[in-house]
Amino acid sequence: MKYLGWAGTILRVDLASEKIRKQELPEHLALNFIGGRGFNSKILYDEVDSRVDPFGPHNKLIFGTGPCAGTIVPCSGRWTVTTKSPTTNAFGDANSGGEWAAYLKWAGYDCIVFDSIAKKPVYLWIEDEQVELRNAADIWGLDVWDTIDAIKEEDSDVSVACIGPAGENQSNAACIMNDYTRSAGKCGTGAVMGSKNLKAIAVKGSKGIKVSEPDGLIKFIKETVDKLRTEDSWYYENLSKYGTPIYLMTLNELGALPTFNWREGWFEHALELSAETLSKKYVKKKMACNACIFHCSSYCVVEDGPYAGTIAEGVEYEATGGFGSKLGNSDLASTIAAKNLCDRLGLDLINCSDTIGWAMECNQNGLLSEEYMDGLDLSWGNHEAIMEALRKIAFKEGKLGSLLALGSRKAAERIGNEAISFSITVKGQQMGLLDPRAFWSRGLGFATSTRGGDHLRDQATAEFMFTPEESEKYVGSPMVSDRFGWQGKGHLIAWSQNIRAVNDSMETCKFLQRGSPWMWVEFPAKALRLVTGLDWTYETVQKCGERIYNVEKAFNVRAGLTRKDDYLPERFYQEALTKGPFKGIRLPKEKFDLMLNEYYIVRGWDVETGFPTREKLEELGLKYIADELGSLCKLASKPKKKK
Amino acid sequence: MYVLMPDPEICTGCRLCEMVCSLVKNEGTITPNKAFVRVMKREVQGIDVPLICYHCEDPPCRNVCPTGAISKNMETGAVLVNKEKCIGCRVCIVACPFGAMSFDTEQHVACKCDLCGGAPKCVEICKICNPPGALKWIKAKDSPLSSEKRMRAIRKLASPKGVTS
Repeated sequence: MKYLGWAGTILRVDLASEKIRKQELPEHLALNFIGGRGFNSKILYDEVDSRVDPFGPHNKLIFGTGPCAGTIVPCSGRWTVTTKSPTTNAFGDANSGGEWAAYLKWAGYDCIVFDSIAKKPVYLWIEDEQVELRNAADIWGLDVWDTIDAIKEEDSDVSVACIGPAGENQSNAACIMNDYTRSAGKCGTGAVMGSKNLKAIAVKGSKGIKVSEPDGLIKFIKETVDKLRTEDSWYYENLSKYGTPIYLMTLNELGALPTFNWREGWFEHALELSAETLSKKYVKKKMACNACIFHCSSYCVVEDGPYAGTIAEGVEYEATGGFGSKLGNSDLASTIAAKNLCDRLGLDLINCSDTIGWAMECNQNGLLSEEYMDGLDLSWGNHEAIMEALRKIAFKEGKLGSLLALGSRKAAERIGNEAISFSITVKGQQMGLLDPRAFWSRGLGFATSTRGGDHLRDQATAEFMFTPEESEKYVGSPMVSDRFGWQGKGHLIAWSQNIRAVNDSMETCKFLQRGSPWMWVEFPAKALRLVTGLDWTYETVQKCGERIYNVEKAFNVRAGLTRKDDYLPERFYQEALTKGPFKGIRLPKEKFDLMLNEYYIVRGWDVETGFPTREKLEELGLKYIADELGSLCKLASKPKKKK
Repeated sequence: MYVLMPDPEICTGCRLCEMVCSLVKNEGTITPNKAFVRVMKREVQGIDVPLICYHCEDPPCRNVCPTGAISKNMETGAVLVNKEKCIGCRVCIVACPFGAMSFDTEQHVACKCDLCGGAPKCVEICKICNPPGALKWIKAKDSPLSSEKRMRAIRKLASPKGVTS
């Protein structure tokens, strides 16, 4: 690779034949797809048929990291894993932090592509040039922390990504964990890793990464911190001090804190779950991923009560809210314990907490017969039952475990009727904790995310952080600042999805981008310029983001998804919020349709079917995708202007 | 004279110090295995400890060096390796109680932290992090770190739950 920043090599591992091949990173891939998520998405579209069985030998599991990972670009220690997802039966990826991405880069690799299925459990060992598959018989069955400990016994200076029992048992809620407490959560990627008999990837690297402008990068860290301190100081200080749990009370006050499986947006015991309570009672220390300038992760120790002795690092809002208000549970220590259990079992806590919430609402309405309950009392707030349910999901234990391990959507389809309306998912994927009835633009983001319901594919904060002038200039519409108006939301979501795709491909943390326009507009291109020495601009990175998003969309379209899959659960259209400042507000479907239409128009996709158009794909240099979709009759052409 | 002091209670383990150190000492290549500051991370125990060269007053590395290649500059306090005199025997690595001595596998000589000639880059980068100051560059005489640590100890002892809180 003649450019700086990338390691320059893709590792290809055929698990069945145990053949390992090193492929030079193609230049066009680096320049058009940046890295990480971009590489993975392109490789998945090109090499995996959208219709394959996610657990079959023809699905691939792709780990990728970007040009900024392993460098001092702020918050750059991230990586993405991509595969065909068993939860959505469509495109799936997940992103994680920690140290693993940097280690992979320092060892000399940008990407690892796993093909087929190993005959027996194995793990991959990487130490610079030396790459080998090793027997995992001794570590198969161990939980995540014990697995990492066992591998580190051999060499303490390795970083390990692995699955726990949940992944081994192919539970759809399984994630891939790295560095003990960091998780690539979404889309059941851990289940796919389990189906491949791949337990872990251990990496150690000493080659390092050469960057184009060392002094410029050191100055760049200072500049980034200064911008955050001046343009978005509340956020920077609070995220550093409390981490994401700070959102819990804010969202409760806004009436957007999902409570009782998203039925309500306000929880009367929220104060007991607040960031202040967490800090006062449990947080001992702040911890960081590689190259982080926030240090948002909280190291918590529970000292008394039934959960005494529990430790957990990275207790986020998705834990305190997900196992808290969403399940009607006000016991904060139990949410820490649940987070710890998820980490050790290798479970995605968003998926699990949502699925348990679904089961609790079904239970309340008498939809789950006794044979399904396994003697468990799934009443709101019963945290002992939550712990037990988590174990059952990981081990697919009993009838309840096998049901909940499917994830709420597939479980609901099995139970049928009313149970389906309690599954709060888009494309079968559970969403981040934020009620779209109080944030309409987030609703559009959840609905149009390429990996199913998700709060990280877009970022709608420009809605209240940008001035109308800034919105007009960057987002393309001054209307975005009207919270409960439909206009401009399509622009906002498409624009932020593109930049998010860039972040995920450079592999920098999405927490950098919130209210500061500099972060959205200047940061990505400048970081890439300093690292690679190439002439990146806001326009070129935006184009890359749009290209990546279209490739992922095309994978989904090829899998059979259409406009009807870009809708939210009926609950948000039909039922109004019952408490809090936005009492009485819902997201009317006719308004949502207008938002979705605008989104498709901004994207250059067909409004009726949601299919990409040939014009847009060719503009992005994706003619071959247009040809393939055309041959499948899944391509639209540019709408003619109305007379 | 100034001394370099780590404060593990503040360190969050972001490892920017390692990366910046290796960046400035390796001609633009970021490779922490060649950094002269290493952060020992123990995620499960919640421990992050920056391991550095303390530039000891009576340096074991200097004392064991058979060729006199290691010396302490009494003006700046820095313990430095003279590459010309080093024979690459690695005895200094064995002698250092902190594991702060490294070995340059290309030039085949011992190598170590030189305090960047008096303005350590690791300290500079640590200052801008939040919370700042896990690596401190402090006057050797008045040792503000110990007074700060005394204050922390008093606060802990004075709190209702005693030292456990």
